[in-house]
Formats: sequence, C-alpha cells, structure tokens
Amino acid sequence: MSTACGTSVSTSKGARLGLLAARWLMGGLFLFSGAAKLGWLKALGGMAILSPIADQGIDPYTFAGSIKGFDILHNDLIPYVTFLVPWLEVLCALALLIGLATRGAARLIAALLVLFCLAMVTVIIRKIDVECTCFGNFLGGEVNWTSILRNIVLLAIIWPVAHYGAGMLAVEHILLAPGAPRGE
Amino acid sequence: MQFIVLAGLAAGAAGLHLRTADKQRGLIDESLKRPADPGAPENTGGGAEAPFSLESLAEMISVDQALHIYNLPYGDDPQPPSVIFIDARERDHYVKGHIPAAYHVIPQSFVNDTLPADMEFWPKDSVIVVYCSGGDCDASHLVRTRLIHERLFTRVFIMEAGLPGWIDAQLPTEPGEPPN
Repeated sequence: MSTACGTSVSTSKGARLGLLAARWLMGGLFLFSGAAKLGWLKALGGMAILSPIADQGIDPYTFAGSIKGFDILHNDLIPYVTFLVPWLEVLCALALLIGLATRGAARLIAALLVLFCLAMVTVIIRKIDVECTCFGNFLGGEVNWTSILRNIVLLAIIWPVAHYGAGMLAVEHILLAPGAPRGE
Repeated sequence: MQFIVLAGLAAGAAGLHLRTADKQRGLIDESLKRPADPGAPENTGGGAEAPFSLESLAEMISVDQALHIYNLPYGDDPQPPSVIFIDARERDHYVKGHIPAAYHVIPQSFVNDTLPADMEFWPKDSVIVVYCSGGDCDASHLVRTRLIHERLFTRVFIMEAGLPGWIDAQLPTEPGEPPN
C-alpha cells in the first residue's frame, strides 16, 4: 500500500472500504465511550426508548472513582485525567468519523489503548479489585485478562487507520489539494 | 502534528469543562480526601472500652461499632434511629452473601437511577453503614460521598474492614437478590 516515495496510500477499493469501516467502528465506539464518561448519555434517560443507552452512561465522579481504584496516579492528577481522557476520546472519535486528522486521531486512540492495557496489567498483577468503566457501564465489570484482550483487538482494528490513513469518504481528502497524497 | 493538535484541543476542552463542572469537581475532590491514617486506633475498635456513642463515631468504623449500630433497633432505646446497611460491592458478590437486610447500592446506582425505591423515605438522620470488600475497595467511599452530598444524609459511616471483617468476626450473612 505504500507509494514509491514512502507515503501511505490505500489503493484498492476493498482496502479503503476496510479503513472506512475501521474508522467508523472505532469512532462510534469511542464517541460512545467519551460521552458515557462525561455524563452525556445520562441526559438521554428522559426518553424511555433511549433509556437502555442512557443506562450505559456514568459521570465524571464515577469515572474518577475508577481511576482512583487503579491506584496508579497521584490524587492531585485524578481530576484532570478524569476530564482529559473522555475529551480525548470524543475529539479523536469525531475526527475518525468525519475523516479529518485521521492518522493523528487513530494514533492517539492507539496510545490510549496501550496505556489502558498497561494500567490493567498492573491492576491484575497487584490483585486490585477495580471496576472497569472504560466504556461507561457498557462491557463493564472487574478488570481482568478479557479486558486486556478486548483492548488488544481494538488496537488491531485502529492500527491500519493509524498507519495507512482514512481510506474513503474523508473530509481531509476534500481539503487536501488535488494530487496530494491521500491519508497523510 | 495532528497528534499534538488533537491532544491540545482535548486538553483545552477538558480544562474548560473542569472549571465549569463545579458539582462534579466537588464530589471528586471530596472523594479524594481520604482519612490520613485509616488504621488509627480510634478508627479500629479503639472505642471498645468506652460506652458506644453514635456521636463519637468517625467516618470509618470497626466491625464492633457496626454491630452495635446493627443492633440499635433491638436495644433499650424507645425511639431507636433508623438503621440501614448498604453493600457497595458488585451484584454477584452481593448475591453470594451480604449482611442480612443490607441494601445493594453501587456508585453507578446514583447515575443510572437504580437506587432503592424506598430511599426517598429514609429519614435524613438515618444511621447508614456502607461496606464493600475492605482494604483498598473504594466503592463504599464513593457511595458514602454521594449519600451525603447528593442525598443529604447526615450519618453515613463506612465499615472499614468490609464484609471480610464481618465474616472474620463470625457474624451472620445471607445470600439472595437485592431487595431494591
């Protein structure tokens, strides 16, 4: 998939479609995840038909409790991380969904996933019983090796986007000058 | 470059949100103020020699003190306070065994409105004891903070040793689904 000058370009339609699917899947998942942690999903609880989605939401306080449970960060840093992580997820998710700054967004998401995996490994090794609120109440439960495996699968999905770019239907393709390499 | 721009935007948004979300920030700051020395004698049954007094209890109480509270409704006081025990562990652990008559309330219950239906009728000066797995378990602290700051209960304690301490003292537990 690389051009002669070393830039990454997806040429086959199937590959570009795959990248699009990966972008939208991960974008949707992390938009949900960030919104769940920021308490936005809770606002949907007023409509009965959306209450199953609202039930997956938590709020920053609950997420902070989960971070504290990991017993990695100093207490002074927890409030900042509590809001930074979900906002990173939301902005990167939006970037992935619309196809703007796609590779940077994908790399940020990948970095977050790696950090989450490392944090989970330390929790398991130290035998700490902590709730994983990674996606709010969705796929919740105690941190265990399944949680880490899940994150590795997500990493495998986002990696091609981080490496090869947006695929098709990306705003950055419109913004780039004609003839410029795609997926940069 | 994209990485840095996105990270910068997220940091800016998070900073702005943190400045404006006073209520959430208050709850988070409160929950991070843990007792300096939860193992201090006055918190671990040091009152065993002195007569039991609700007014003298600290935030963290021993199993002995929790047992005193548990038995208050059956004591000599003609008007005993309302006593409520809350299990803040995951549902599976609660179902396997909990302090008899304990409610099941976890931190997420406050967000998902899965609190006990009769909580609104609990007197605000009820004596509430929250417990989880003891040790590093934070769930009881999170639940306590919300009970005090959001639900305005005034007498909420944490049984520091958690259910393991209750069981070690050979006190009864019962299995079963939550009443709420």
